[in-house]
Amino acid sequence: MTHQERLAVFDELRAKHLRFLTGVLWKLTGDRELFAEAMQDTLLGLWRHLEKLGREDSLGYLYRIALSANAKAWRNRIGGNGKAPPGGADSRAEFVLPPDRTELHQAVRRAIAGLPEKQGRAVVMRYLEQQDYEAVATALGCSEATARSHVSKAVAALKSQLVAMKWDWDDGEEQLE
Amino acid sequence: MAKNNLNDVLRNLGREETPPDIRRMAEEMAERLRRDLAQTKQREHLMWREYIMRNRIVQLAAAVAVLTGVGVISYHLGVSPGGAGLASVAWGEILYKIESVPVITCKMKLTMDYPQGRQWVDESDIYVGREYGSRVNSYKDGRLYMIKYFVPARKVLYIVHPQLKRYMERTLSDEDLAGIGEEQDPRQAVKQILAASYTRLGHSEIDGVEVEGIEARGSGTAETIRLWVDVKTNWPVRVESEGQMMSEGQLRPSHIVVDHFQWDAQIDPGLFEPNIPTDYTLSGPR
Repeated sequence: MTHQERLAVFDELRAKHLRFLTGVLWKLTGDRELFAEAMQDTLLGLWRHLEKLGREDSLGYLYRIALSANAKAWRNRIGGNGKAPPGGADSRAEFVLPPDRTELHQAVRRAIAGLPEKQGRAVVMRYLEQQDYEAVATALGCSEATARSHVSKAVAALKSQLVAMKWDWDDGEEQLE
Repeated sequence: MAKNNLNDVLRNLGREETPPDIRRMAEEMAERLRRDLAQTKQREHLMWREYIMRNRIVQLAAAVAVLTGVGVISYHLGVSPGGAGLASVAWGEILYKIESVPVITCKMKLTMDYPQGRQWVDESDIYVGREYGSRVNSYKDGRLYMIKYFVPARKVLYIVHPQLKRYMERTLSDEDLAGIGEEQDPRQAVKQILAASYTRLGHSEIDGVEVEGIEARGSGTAETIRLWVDVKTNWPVRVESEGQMMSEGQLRPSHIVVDHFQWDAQIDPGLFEPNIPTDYTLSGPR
């Protein structure tokens, strides 16, 4: 593909998916700085993987790029060891944001960013985007039963991570559907 | 603590509307990238500057890194020629002098410009001790909002928010130790300016002190950095940087001034000890 052709495909992808990507990344970050970082990486991902994204069945790949960018943004914020950031910007954000409003949601978002790739995609599609299992399975390239298994494992992993962060969960809420 | 319901939280996240300004931000970012893509065939370096600056506030080192990264690095260790009866800085002695002091204090002021005349102004008192690590007290609108303690002996970094009565703790790897140690030390900026290709600014006066300055500019970038040195004592008096920093997804015009240096300051070592009040809570990782 020539540069001009790639630009044309980029324009198409942008027109088709930008609103969707913006919505997903906002739900996953809930924070301007994180969003900007994740969106920047996602846009670069679109450009780098134009050929794959030009296909009809590109939704799964699109999620993959967005979730990968989201996970990277969270890793950059919290540091490789999962603890506090060394830089000042994050601390400034904490100062500016009301802690009670965002803390629980941010803990869940952070936990989603730490999920294995397929589990992350499965839980985001199923719960944040409210897609049915057929769509989740198509995007993951697996059977519906496997898609259900990914969602189930993701939810268990989320609870486990959140408990490790000292959040207390209602034990009776295993079934989310 | 009341038990939380994961189902509710996930559904709430799913229902969250994207604010209009976030949509605009995404559209602007996509438009900028499209423009850049149209101008260049290189895939990777388009946003390199944003990555360098990403989320790093109050880091003069980042601005300097841009300068030294794009210029030819060569130390200028010669003694500057005296001019018209004026005392001159012995530039070659500065590195030796600043390396020899065990404790340094200084002040840093960062100003970042936003649209509609909005500004972010962040002022910090910086303390660096060879044996102790560093402490940075940061103020917004004159109120202390953050204290950052870097304690290399214990390989730990604390970020304390007095107004929230909260703190964060990060255990550091050996790699982190070296990086953060340099980040917090204003000597790094001085060293890197002297390593860049600079031009002489001549003589001036700062707070009644006669100084001589040098300036380095990034080729093809907006960054400019200046170092002013006391012609009598040869100690750095002020470092200034003008450039752009990443904030809220865009590069913003920024201006940093580091001054009020006390070289070999006599300060209480207890200042470096993170005595966090017992009623402060440890924040979970965000």
